Amino acid sequence: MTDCRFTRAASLGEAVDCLQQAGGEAHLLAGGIALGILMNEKLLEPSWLIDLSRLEDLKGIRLNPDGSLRIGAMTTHREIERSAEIAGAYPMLIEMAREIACGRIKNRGTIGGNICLADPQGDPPVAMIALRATLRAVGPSGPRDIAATAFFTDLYTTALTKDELLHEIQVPAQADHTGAAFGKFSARRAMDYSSTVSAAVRLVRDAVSGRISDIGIGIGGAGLIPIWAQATEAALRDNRPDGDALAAMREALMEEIEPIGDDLYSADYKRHVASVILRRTLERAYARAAAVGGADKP
Amino acid sequence: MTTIWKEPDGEKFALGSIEEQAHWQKEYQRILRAVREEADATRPAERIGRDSHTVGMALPRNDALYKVRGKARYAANIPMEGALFCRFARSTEAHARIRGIDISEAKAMPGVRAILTADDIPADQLLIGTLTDDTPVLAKDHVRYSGEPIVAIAAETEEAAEAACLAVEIDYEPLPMILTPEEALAPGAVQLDPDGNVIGDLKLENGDIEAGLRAADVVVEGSFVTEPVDHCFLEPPSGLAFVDPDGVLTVMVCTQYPHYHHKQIARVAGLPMEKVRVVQTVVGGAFGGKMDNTVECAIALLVLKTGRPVRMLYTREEVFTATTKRHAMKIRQKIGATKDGRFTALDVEYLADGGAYRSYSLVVGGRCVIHTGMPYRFPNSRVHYVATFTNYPPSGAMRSFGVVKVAFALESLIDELAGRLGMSPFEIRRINGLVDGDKTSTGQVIHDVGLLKTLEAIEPIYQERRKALAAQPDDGLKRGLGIACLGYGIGYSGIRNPSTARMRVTADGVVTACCGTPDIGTGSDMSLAQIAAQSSGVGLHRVRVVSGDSTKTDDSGPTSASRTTYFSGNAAYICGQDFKRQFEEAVARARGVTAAQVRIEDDRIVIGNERLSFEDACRLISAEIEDICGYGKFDPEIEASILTFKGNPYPTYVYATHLVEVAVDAELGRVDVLRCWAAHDAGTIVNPTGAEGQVDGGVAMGIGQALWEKVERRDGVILNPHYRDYLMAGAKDVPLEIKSIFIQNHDRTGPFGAKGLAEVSLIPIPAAIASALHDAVGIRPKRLPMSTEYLLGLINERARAAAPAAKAAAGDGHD
Amino acid sequence: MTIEISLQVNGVSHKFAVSPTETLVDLLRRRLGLTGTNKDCGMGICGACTVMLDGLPVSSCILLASQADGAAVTTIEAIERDGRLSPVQEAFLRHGASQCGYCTPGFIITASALLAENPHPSRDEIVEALKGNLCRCTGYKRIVEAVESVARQGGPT
Ligand SMILES: Cc1cc2nc3c(=O)[nH]c(=O)nc-3n(C[C@H](O)[C@H](O)[C@H](O)COP(=O)(O)OP(=O)(O)OC[C@H]3O[C@@H](n4cnc5c(N)ncnc54)[C@H](O)[C@@H]3O)c2cc1C
Ligand code: FES
Ligand code: FES
Repeated sequence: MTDCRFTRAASLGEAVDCLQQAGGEAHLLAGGIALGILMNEKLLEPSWLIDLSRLEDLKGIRLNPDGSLRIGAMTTHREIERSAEIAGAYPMLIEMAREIACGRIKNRGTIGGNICLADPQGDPPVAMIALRATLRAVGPSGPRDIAATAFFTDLYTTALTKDELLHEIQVPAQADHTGAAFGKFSARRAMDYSSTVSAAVRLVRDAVSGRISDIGIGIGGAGLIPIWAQATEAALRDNRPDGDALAAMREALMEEIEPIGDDLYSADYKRHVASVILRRTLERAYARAAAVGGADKP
Repeated sequence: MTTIWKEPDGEKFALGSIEEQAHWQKEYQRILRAVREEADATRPAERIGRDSHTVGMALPRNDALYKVRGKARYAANIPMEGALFCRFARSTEAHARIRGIDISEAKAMPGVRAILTADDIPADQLLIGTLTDDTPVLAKDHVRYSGEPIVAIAAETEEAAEAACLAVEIDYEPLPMILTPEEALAPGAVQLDPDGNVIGDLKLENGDIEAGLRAADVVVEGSFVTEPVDHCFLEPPSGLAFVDPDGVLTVMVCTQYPHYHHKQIARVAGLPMEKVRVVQTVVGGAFGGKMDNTVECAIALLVLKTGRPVRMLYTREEVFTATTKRHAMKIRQKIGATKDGRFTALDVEYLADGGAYRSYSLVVGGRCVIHTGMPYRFPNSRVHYVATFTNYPPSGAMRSFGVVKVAFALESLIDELAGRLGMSPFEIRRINGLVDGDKTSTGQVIHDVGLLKTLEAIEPIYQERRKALAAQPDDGLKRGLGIACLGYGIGYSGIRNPSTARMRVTADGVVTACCGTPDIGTGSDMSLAQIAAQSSGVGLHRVRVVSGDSTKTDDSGPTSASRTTYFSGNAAYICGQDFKRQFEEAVARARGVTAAQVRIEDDRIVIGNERLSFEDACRLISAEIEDICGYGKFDPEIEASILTFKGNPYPTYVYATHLVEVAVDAELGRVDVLRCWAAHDAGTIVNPTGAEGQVDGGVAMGIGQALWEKVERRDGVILNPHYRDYLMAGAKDVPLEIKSIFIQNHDRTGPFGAKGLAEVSLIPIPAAIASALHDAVGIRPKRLPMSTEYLLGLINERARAAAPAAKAAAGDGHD
Repeated sequence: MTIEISLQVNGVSHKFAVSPTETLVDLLRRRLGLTGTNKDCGMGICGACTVMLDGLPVSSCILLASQADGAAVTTIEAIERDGRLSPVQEAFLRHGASQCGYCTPGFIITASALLAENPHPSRDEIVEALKGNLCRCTGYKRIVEAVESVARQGGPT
């Protein structure tokens, strides 16, 4: 058994210093859930653990006056699920948090740890892609902003460098007439994590024409990474979500996703599921956009 | 030799000593009284809690007291100073010759105290097994599945033992693998066992199958495929072994059958029987998966080798990769019936994957053969069952011994047949269902058959739900109802399997009933206490059941085959009567009256007009109280030929009809089971709380097996050895509306009319769900599990088949 | 290396020197003999190892003791009070919500935490709270009913 160092970082600077010293050999400890499992499965023998739990900087949810949202990387899924600020402005995130595992996992698991794990089945990554969030990293040369759409680069790999950590997530203010929804398919009603398909949709619905003027789509469990469904977005933009547009959406989606067959499902089935879940989620988001209204609301 | 374990006095070990538990027993009695008061306001208050007549009452279990407090003694929770930890180095090959084992590096690792290989065990003591001794304690020169134990290492810590196992070098010469029964039977296949690749080839025939098929107006047939399933008891196998101060090698282990391990350990260790003792710890679930050797022999041998206590706890991954599984099975079946719905023929072939060793494959086979066609009359039938070896973990016993699959195939086809005949699923079962005086396929004439009553109980509910579903507003889901029935024999198949009980009393009035079959978490100790109390007349509160100790009880077989309530219950009943007689005689002698003048009645002793408390009576007879020992043995005549299966394989049968309601998301193939009604004829219900709990659990397990559960195997490897990818039902996946209906049926041979229940509630569920799916979306699933992808495929297939017809209809101008 | 941590376990303060990778469940079971917390999957899935960390249920099998530094841990052993079962424990006993019992401590901890936060949860809220704990024996119905019965009384948990 190798000996393992442990540092309870007292400041962001210290955490970054440690990362730099370790030269890629350290592991940041957020909720520790993913790391704990890897260690129990003997898939990981860490040589240096850097605990982020004392970094107040990484905590907290803040709704800014301009309507944008800031979520610290160490915010737990539970805190998100129960946040009144988020419930008011970004109900889709509540819907997403509800879908994650169960209370026991949500009480520890953090949004930062989840996003940095970059699991293709993860729920927060696809939500952040749809919401066009910015992920703020901190490294030796200071902060760096990375678009959520560009954050996931390969299987379990992110755009962070070895000596960077995720500081916070910034979600832009939502335009008027925005509706968003999160949808997930799993065999059971809870706790499925290894073979699920999810879709996050955010759209702006033109109050007059009913067309979709802006849209963000993230698809989970349908490839090596959480997928930014760019072409699918394009197929829907400036359209109403009906007949032809839905057919075009489906076609574009099939091009963009690359699901991997596993013990439970074939790749083809996952393709089918992704298109159904996306369509249903889109319909919900579209209906919500009509309900929320905007500048013209009474 | 160190040992710090002191025998707790007078009570089942697992629950601790009387002294330790004195306070909590009072707390338990308080709760018991409260439950009784709520349930029965008519009872005189001062008698509540002292009753002897409790059979049929819903009572909380005594052992749950320890469980809700976190004090239950699972093997891993028993402290023992100085205990070593054992781990296995397991085969990484599914089929190979072992060329050499190099333990030199492992031996030198820190903390390692002993290393055991097959070479340390005399060849004639190496093999163990349940029916046949065919399984090496540690593989010698041939491994037959990936995960098979080869080396056992005892070290100061679990981590050290684990590390040493990784340091063991095993040189394999890979051999061709046999991955399916078809491969095993293929000409020229490599031989896995010295006796060939066939574990069992069983046949049962009745009447003339060809004539039966000719007489049929309608014949339906189908091929069914079921995947292997894991028991998923939550407590991994675990045990603790040591030598006690009297020099007895003591093994404490979670098991369904302590006496089996006792015999095996004595043989493997070369010790006389009296130098071995197996004590059952609290068992964290079993379901048939704790009847084979896992940790027992290895830790026993390591105790002898090191002189230190040794403990072992499997990891969850080991549970999945190296313990027995439910058989993967292929079933080809054909049934025929006349236009008016009478069955004429049943033709079935089973091909079962028995895995690497025999385990309970033959028992499963025998039970499947006998239960084929149950609970119906088939004048002509032909059943053929073949089980073969493969290079996967042994397939063994699991809840219902395979009958769940028998029922899946049969009940699905009956549902189809009813549809073809335009008959209701109830009608066809009523026409063919077994009734009193009928003969089963083995020629047994049966009595106290409550099958039709269970159908009667369910039918009105079905009609009512039909109406409710018709009025259901459209929410995009398709709903459906399905029923399935079962008949299930209690106890071993066709061989005598007696059970015994002994009852004693101390001078301060504590009654101990030593019962042969252990409680594996089902609450059987509680039911046995109720039976013993009612039979003897003493208050339930003073009866403590001791079970699961191989030196304190006779070998009464395992707790399996739903046999405990019936077999051990009968033994407890007879024993209670004997105890009562002896006790009354002792009181009579002490008082100088005739025995006929003394009666134990509801925990009091009636002598003419006088009433003594039980305690006072015990004091009165204190001089001879130690001589009182009630004894009961229940050993019904059971006999069936293992070649033809003709005879009386079981003393009695239980029956049931289940109804499920499902909702289907037809676009995805996703199913939710919304409601379930389960009507059972299990005879008298000894403890409704326990019985309903068994039903609820069986239904949940049945849903899991119907929809998700599957041990995923490829090239000799198990791919999903964890709950992440092996999906069992959670609280959101099962209906909370499970209604148990116990029909009134007194079994003339059961204790107070009881039959038993444990396994059966699982059996009809997959079949009922399959029929409900047909009702909802018109498909006939023939695979278990019925994954969403599989179901969607069937739904699409049906839509495609219907499409041309629909087009044609549209072309006719009917817009 | 080892690190010093302080933990309050069931109301008692302890200091431990732990290896950074030691899990909380191992610490509780091995060092404190608190074996009421059972372990099964070691992957956060089954819930058998659930304890409360500062009042919230967590999987102790995937929680490093080093991460719990400074926290208050409550295990099943501290749920009973003054020699009496807690209402949740008593309800489990009465309703037959514990069969083999291996899952029971995890369920009781989870249910107790729920009721502490929300004394009168609806049936749906109860199921939602318990959905991540596996039980192979009971089929969940009686567990939910047991918790429901306490929710109806709404007494202290
Ligand atoms: C049974 C189970 C079910 C689950 N179900 C779901 C589900 O349905 N949906 C879902 O989305 N998730 C699910 N999860 C994942 C869970 O939600 C956690 O979010 C996830 O395990 C990681 O969170 P953590 O805070 O524990 O991260 P950790 O384990 O602490 O860290 C994860 C990784 O991220 C790195 N990391 C952590 N923080 C930072 C940072 N600030 N900067 C850079 N790198 C960092 C770590 O070094 C590590 O590599 C499930 C997990 C389990 C065990
Ligand atoms: S043992 Fe911790 S969740 Fe299963
Ligand atoms: S009671 Fe056995 S697992 Fe829940």
